[in-house]
Amino acid sequence: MAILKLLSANELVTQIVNFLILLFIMRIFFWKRVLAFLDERKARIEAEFKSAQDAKRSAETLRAEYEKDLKSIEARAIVTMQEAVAQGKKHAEEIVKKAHVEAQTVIEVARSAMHAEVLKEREAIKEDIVNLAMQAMGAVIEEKLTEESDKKIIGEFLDKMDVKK
Amino acid sequence: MQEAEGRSHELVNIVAFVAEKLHGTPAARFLLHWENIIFALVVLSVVLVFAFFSTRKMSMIPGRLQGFAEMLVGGLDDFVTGILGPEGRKYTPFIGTLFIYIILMNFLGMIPLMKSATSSWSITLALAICVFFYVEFTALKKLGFFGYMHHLAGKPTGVMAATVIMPVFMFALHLFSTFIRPFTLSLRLRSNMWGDEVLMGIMSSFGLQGLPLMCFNTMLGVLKCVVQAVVFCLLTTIYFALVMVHDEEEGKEVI
Repeated sequence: MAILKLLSANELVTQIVNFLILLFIMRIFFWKRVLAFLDERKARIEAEFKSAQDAKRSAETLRAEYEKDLKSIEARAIVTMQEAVAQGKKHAEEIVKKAHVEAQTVIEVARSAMHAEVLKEREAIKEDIVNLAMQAMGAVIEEKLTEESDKKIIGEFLDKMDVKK
Repeated sequence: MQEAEGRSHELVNIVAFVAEKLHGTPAARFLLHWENIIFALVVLSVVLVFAFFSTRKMSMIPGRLQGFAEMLVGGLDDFVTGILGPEGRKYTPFIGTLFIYIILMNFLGMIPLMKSATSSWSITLALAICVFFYVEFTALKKLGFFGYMHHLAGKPTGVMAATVIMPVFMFALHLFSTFIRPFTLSLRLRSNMWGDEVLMGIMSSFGLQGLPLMCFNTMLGVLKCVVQAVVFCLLTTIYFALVMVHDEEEGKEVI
C-alpha cells in the first residue's frame, strides 16, 4: 500500500472541512444571490420583451385600423366631392333658371310699364291734338261749340284715324 | 508531506523556501506539513473575496466584476442543467464551487513561487470524498435504500430478475465502480497536476536550455488546468445524472 503514503490524514480532513466551509458560504452568499438575480433579470427581460411585442402588435392593429379608416375616409371624400360638384352644378342651373325667370319678369314688367307709358303719352298727345284742333276750328268757323261736343267730335275723328293706322 | 519521491523534482515555492530558511525549527516543520493546505487556503480566500466583491452591490446594469460573476454562474448553471435538466439546478452551487476552486488551485501552480494544491492527493481526495458522499446521499434520497439497491443491481426485471447470478454480479460491479470513483476522480487530477510540476522541475534543471521547453509546457499547462477542472466537474455531474430520476416519454423510468 505504498500509494497510501501519498496521503496525509490531517490534510485530508482539513481540506474536507475547508471545502465544506467554502461551499456553505458560496452557496448562501454567492450562488443563491447570483442565480436569483439572473432569474430576476431573465423574468424582467421576458416581461419587457412580451410587453414590447404586445405593444408592437397593438400598434400594428392600430395602424391597420387607421389605414382602413384612411381608405374609407378617402372614398367618402371622393363621394362627398362628387356630390358637392353635382349639387353645385344643380345649384348653378337653378340660379341660372331663376335669373332667367327674374329677367323675364323684369322684361314683362318693363314692357307693361312701357306699354302703359305709351298709352298715357298717346292719350296726352291726343288731348293736345284735340285742343289744337279745337282752337284751329274755333278760329276758322267762329262758331263756338260747347266744349264737350267739340271734344266728342274730335275724339271720334281721332279714333277713326287710329283705326286707319 | 509524504510525497518525498516527487519533492526533489518540484519547483521551489514560497512556503518551501521559507521553511528551508527556517530549517529545523518547529515553524519550518509546520509550514512543510501544511504546505498544500496553505495554498488551498490562499485560493479559498481569493474565491471568497471575489464572491464578496462581485455580489456586494448588484445592479441590473452590471459592472465588470458582477458581469464576470454572472457569466461564470450562468455558464456553470447552463453546463449543469444542460446535463441534469432543470431539476439539476440545485447541484449547480456544489459543482460550480468545485470548478472554481479546482481551476484556481490548478492555475496557482502557474504563478512563480506558488504551487498547485491539487498536486497533492490528500487535497483532491478530500474533494472527491465530498463528491462521493453528496452523490450517494442524493441517490438514497431520490431512490430510497431499496430503490438504490435495485438500481445498483441493474434494475433486473422478468427473466433477468429470476437469474440471481446476474443481478448479484451487476450489484457487485456497480458497488465496486461506485466506491472506486473517489480514487479515480482524485488520482486523475492529482497525477496530472503533480506530473506537470515534476516535469517543470526537471525542465528547470536544464538551465537556459530548458527555457523553450518550459514555455511550451506552460502553454500546455494552461490547457491542462482548464481540462482537468472540467473533467472533474463533468464526471461529478455525470455521477449525479446516473442517480437522478428522469421522466421518460414512455413513463417514469430510473436511469
